[in-house]
Amino acid sequence: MKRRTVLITDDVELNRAILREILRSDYHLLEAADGVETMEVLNTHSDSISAVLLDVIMPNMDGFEVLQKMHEQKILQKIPVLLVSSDNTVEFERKGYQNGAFDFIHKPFDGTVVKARLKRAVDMYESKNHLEQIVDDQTEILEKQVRQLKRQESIQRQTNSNIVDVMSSIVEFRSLESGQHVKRMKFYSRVLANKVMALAPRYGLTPKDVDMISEASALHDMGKIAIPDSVLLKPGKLTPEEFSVMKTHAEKGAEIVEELEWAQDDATHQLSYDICKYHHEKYDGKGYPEGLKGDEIPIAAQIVSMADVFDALTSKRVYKKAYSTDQAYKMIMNGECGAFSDLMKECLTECLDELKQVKAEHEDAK
Amino acid sequence: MFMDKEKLVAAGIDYDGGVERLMGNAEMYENFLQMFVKDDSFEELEKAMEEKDYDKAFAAAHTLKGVAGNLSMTKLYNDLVIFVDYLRNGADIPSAVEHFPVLAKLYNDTVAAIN
Repeated sequence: MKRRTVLITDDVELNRAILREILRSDYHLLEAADGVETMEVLNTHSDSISAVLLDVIMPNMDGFEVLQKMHEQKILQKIPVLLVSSDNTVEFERKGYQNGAFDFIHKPFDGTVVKARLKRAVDMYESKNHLEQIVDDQTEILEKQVRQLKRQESIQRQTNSNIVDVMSSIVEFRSLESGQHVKRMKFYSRVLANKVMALAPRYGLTPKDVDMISEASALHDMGKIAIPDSVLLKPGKLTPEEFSVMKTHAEKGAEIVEELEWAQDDATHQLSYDICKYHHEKYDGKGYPEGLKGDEIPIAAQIVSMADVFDALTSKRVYKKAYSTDQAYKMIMNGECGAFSDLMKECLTECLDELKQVKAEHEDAK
Repeated sequence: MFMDKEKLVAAGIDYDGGVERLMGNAEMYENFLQMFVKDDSFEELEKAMEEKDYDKAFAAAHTLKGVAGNLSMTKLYNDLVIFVDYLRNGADIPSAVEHFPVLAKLYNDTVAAIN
């Protein structure tokens, strides 16, 4: 076991000699004859001194002053100081502790007692310093891990975004939906989601959620990939049977999203699923696939549903012409396109101008 | 043991106590007794008393007291306790002056016992 180093200070040579003799077999020793020398030794050997036996009454700089200087230089928290003094008054001892002394040894001292108390101080501080070092090391490791997690989160977000982009490209390609439709859906959804966040804190939407809803809205019709061409690309109105087949795109979309569980984080995954499956549910329970009612319908789906209806009305389709935004607004408010919650209708009202702006900027190519 | 223990005890030195304090090392203790003789704290005290510099006297007496205590020189130590208190902050200079010869004799007896 490596020997610890202890600093002995006393202006009286004889006193230092006595301590020296008592301690030399257990410790490597350094000596100082007054406060100034003490500070010098401490500064040159700061990393290797395990304890200081400090006489109080010394010329040039006394023990109390040494304590203060050690405190200023932040050495006191690492090195225990045992004051040694022949002044046995309580005031003295009190002052010692107030200045940060670890222990107070009265003269005349007993060799066995001094050794024991010194050992206790040295062992305790070694343990304390070691623990502090461990904590510091652990903190560094944790900080590194946090940085890594942040990087991974950033990569994840990018992946989410990429997946959505890829999927929506496929959807567009397959069902002849225009790229502008997807863009408009994203913008409409964002505008409406922001308004819901502002008007209805009860849904607990955060700006991050708004981002995710906007991104995931691009996937709402992903299930159409599972619909046969005869139905999907039919230029005319659908028969009831054909319509039933068409309706399955909601559930099919959700199934596909399920397959993507591994690629998305939980929150995005849930949103994508809800949006795909429930964007055709209606507030009065008359929607599909499950006939959910009221707020059984996830708010993300309610938002995308309205965006989808608004866009469908204001776009030309093979089976109908495009309505103006004002007409579309009236029709939705009148419940001609299925029931929406009062909140969603309020959002539509307040966002109408912004939605018109989006439409103007992202018209379908003629 | 190189010294005459009985002589030391007679002069008021707690020999056994002193050795015990140094963890039973008699040789160490006797070495220190010899060092004590060479220490000049008493000369300093004497000089200070002559010069009536009582602050200096206090410091020297205080140092001497500490050393005497560490070496279990009980009789000398006890006497110094009283003497130091006379001088502390100039509490009772007349008594200190009056008492000094007694102290001086005690010191010389102690030294004689060691030599």
